[in-house]
Amino acid sequence: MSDSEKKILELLEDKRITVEEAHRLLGALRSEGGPREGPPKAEARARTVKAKYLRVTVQPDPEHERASDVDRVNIRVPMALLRSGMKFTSLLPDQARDKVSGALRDKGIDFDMRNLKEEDFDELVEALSELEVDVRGSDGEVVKVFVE
Amino acid sequence: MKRPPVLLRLKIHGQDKRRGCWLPLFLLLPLALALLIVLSPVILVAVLVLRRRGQNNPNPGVSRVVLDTLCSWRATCAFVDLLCSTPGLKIDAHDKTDHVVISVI
Repeated sequence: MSDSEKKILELLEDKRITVEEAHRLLGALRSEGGPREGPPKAEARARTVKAKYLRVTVQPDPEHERASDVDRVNIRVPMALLRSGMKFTSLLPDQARDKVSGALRDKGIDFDMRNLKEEDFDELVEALSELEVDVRGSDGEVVKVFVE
Repeated sequence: MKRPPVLLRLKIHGQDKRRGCWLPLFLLLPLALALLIVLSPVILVAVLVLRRRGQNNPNPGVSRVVLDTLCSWRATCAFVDLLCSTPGLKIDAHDKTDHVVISVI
């Protein structure tokens, strides 16, 4: 239930609006929001909203014979920090930006940093919410990158 | 609502050394701010001198570009935003002998 729906029901409970008005408002709200999301999409959306940290872990694979030699790493980076860090790209001097774009172009990536906007950062961070990397190395380490 | 970090926890455990400390950032940040205010006339003079020297130069030096960027209002906002986003950051790494923890609260 969205905040707006809750608010409408609260107004109805307080008898500040009638049942018909509440019904009409809820109908308008639902038609404005488009078709209802299916469970998987709604679940993904909820995960995106809740995503607070990017986690990087390196743990030993318990089934591997050299597991005891593996270093353990556990890094937790707040998503807000990622977002703030990305904003720093806008502070790059033009000369440096041109160099970065040129270097990327040389590597076959056609990406101009001047086109990056703040909305894009939010989209990037949201896209990260679905990231999940799970790598098992030959030395008995398990590297995981995920969002929680 | 973002808030500045309050504490920084550092823990370094080795085979024969065992160090750990809690840095009260809530006390250090006002000190840093006071220092910045005291130094602001020096910074202002440095900016003005470097700006004047590079005024007619079509290819300004790195120091001027960096100083210009760092002294802009946008940069200040970005630094404050970055600082206020650090609470929750935790780095915990250990091998057979050493264990390092850095945590911002």
